[in-house]
Amino acid sequence: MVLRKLGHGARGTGRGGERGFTFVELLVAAAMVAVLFVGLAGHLQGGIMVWQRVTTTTQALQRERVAVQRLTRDLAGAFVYSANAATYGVSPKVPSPELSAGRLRWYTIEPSGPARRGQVRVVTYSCERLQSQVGLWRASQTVAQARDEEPVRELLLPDCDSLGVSFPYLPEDASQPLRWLPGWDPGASQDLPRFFELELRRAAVSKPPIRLMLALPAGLLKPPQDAAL
Amino acid sequence: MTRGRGARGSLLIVTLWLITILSALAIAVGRYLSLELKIAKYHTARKQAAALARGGVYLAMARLADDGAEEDSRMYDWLGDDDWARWTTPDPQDPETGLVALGAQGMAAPRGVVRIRTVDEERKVSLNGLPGAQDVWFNAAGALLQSPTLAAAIEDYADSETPPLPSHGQGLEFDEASNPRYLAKNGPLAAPEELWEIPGVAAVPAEVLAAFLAQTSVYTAQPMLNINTVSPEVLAAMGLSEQNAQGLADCRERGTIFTDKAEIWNTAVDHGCLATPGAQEQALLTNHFDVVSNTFTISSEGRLEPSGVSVRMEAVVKREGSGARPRILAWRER
Repeated sequence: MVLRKLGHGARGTGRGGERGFTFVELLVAAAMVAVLFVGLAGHLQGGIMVWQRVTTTTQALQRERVAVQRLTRDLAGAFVYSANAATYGVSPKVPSPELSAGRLRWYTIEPSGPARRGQVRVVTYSCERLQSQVGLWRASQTVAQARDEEPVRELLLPDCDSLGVSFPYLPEDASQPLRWLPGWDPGASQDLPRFFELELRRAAVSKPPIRLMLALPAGLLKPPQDAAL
Repeated sequence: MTRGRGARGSLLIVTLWLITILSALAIAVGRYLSLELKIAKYHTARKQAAALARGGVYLAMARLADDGAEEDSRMYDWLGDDDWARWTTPDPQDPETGLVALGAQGMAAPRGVVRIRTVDEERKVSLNGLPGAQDVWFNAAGALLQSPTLAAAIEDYADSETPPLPSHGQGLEFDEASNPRYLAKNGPLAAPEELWEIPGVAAVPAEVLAAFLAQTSVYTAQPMLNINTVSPEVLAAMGLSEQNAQGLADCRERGTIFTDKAEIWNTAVDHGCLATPGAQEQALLTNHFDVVSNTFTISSEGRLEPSGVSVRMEAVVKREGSGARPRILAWRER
């Protein structure tokens, strides 16, 4: 439409009866449109790239948020299944709770089951390579399953290749800051720690590790003499 | 001239098309964004409600820590004026004593409220007291569950012995036929949810199970209940006659407080609490009751007012000495 009007105007009024375009005119118009699109495409590509990056970042953040939420929920219900260390061991005994860089495992109450009345579950978190995929894996089993069955793992967060944990201990002098040590000894009573710091280290060097301060409401903050490290 | 008018008309159509497409796009983007906003608002509300609920639990814990000796400098816990049990807003929906309701004070328009309920755990029959204990607890658990067989199964689950205890028969130490196979824990129950592991318990009718769970506890080990808070249902399950159990509860309603463990029987008789006092009642009241409580379940619900988003948290806490901060034994977030 516009082109037609332009063409008409450009030709002047001398030959008013003719309303077509010459081949050259069409070529010039096509070239102009092509140049315009090349210029636009550059911008468009940039826009698409930014949009894609935003989407992947949002998705990665969402995954991280879900993983952290899972961890916090599982830790909120954490409890000492048995204060007797002889309860834990190899089948038919139940697996021992463990909070170390190799694996995090504890007993918790999950609000699931019929009528959401809660269920005792053994949850395990670890950062390792499974099914040729490096990541943070979670497993959740009932006590009866944990005796005999291999847990079914679920990938929570890709790219996590190792865990770092550190635990606070009460200093002898109350005015001093907490002492942070890399290991947790449950001691004779099998008590859980009150809180600990968890580091999820990434396989990709460019990604910084995720640092979390996690709380166990039913845990205890113990002085180091009880810890026997 | 006529051709020009036609061209302008088609321009209008194209413009209208463009406007329609653009507005459809704008509406779609607007809806997407408003949905995102709603989700974000809900997340924030839940976080705030959870913070309120958590604050409620810690407030109740502070009250429990402050609740020391009574005016007569003796230690006893009852449901009358103890701080943890104060009933500031009676809720007809929730007749359980020990409800505390408070708004966010000092705010013109409160953004949220916390409802706290503290229930004494030492008014309940201890399920961990069953193994090797006197028959009175075993019978009480069996009566509350309406099944002595299941009470025996719970006893075998929680006792430290592998062979079934001969005293109450049945013997449910393992069940190879079930999938996955059942094996008794042979250690004390650490959470009431462990009961579902025991075959048969999950099949108990829901209302019987609810009443059983309300009157039993896994967080206490000592074979003593608080006479000031124990329910008539538990008293009846322990072998007291219906009239005597109700008489004791009515007596407390009228203001009788048991302040001394050694004087429980005398107080009950002096205040005419029992319809038919006898030797059996005397043995029961003297041997199995105390006047203090140290383990409590705190239920706290934080609710944001405009949105109605609410989060419930439950903690079982234990006082270890007067004035000390109670220790959290269990925590639930729902």
